[in-house]
Amino acid sequence: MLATISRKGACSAGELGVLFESSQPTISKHLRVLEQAQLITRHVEGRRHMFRLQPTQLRQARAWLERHLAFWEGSLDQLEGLLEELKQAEGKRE
Amino acid sequence: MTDLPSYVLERTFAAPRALVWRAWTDPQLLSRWYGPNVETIIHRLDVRPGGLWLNEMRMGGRSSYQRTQFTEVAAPERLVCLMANADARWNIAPNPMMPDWPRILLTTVTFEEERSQTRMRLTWTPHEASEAEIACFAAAMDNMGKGWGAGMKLLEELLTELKAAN
Repeated sequence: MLATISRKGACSAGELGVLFESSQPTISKHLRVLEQAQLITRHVEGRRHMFRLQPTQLRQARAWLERHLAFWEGSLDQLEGLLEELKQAEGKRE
Repeated sequence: MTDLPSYVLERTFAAPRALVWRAWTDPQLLSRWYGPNVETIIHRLDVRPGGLWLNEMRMGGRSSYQRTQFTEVAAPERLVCLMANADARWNIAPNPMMPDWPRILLTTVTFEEERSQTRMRLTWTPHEASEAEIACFAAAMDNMGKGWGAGMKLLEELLTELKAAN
């Protein structure tokens, strides 16, 4: 459906409700969540609310998760090295 | 809980579980591996339910701070903690670069021993998060859909399509 928004450039909440076979309050609630997370933007055109994709925030969210994972992968590499060292030290003591 | 997205990272170490547990709970060892290419300074490490891990990481003359509170400690198999960014006075602070990233991540670490190897599994889930924080976290994940309950199904579909469109 957001592929549809993307293709069309903009969609109204009404159009999305029909496409998703969902009630207006349900669609509105979920659009509000996506809007709060800045994943989509809303433009009021007369009585219609039009929604557009906001890809910047999505890219930033992905980049942040990648950073988080790079941090942990890097840490776990160091943990692996440290465990080797500790094992060898314990082996020598025995 | 079932409505929340979670991210899982697994790694197997060629070391006995007791040793891996020690590397997590001894501050001198923890500071040696936690934080790649940074100087890690552990101001406090109190591994018991309610205890705090106050962690400073220095890189290029700048410091970042993390405040972690343990909620479950079951040696040597399970650690659960709430991990958050903090300011220099150890107050939980939103991430300045990514304000909708979950402020607090519930982090579960499990350790399973198999033939003198240890399988460690890390699971992150947004904790006491706003819907925007949850959507931000979910949007960032590749394994979207896992761990999402029916209540969030439409949101999940919206996000999946959003990802596909980009």
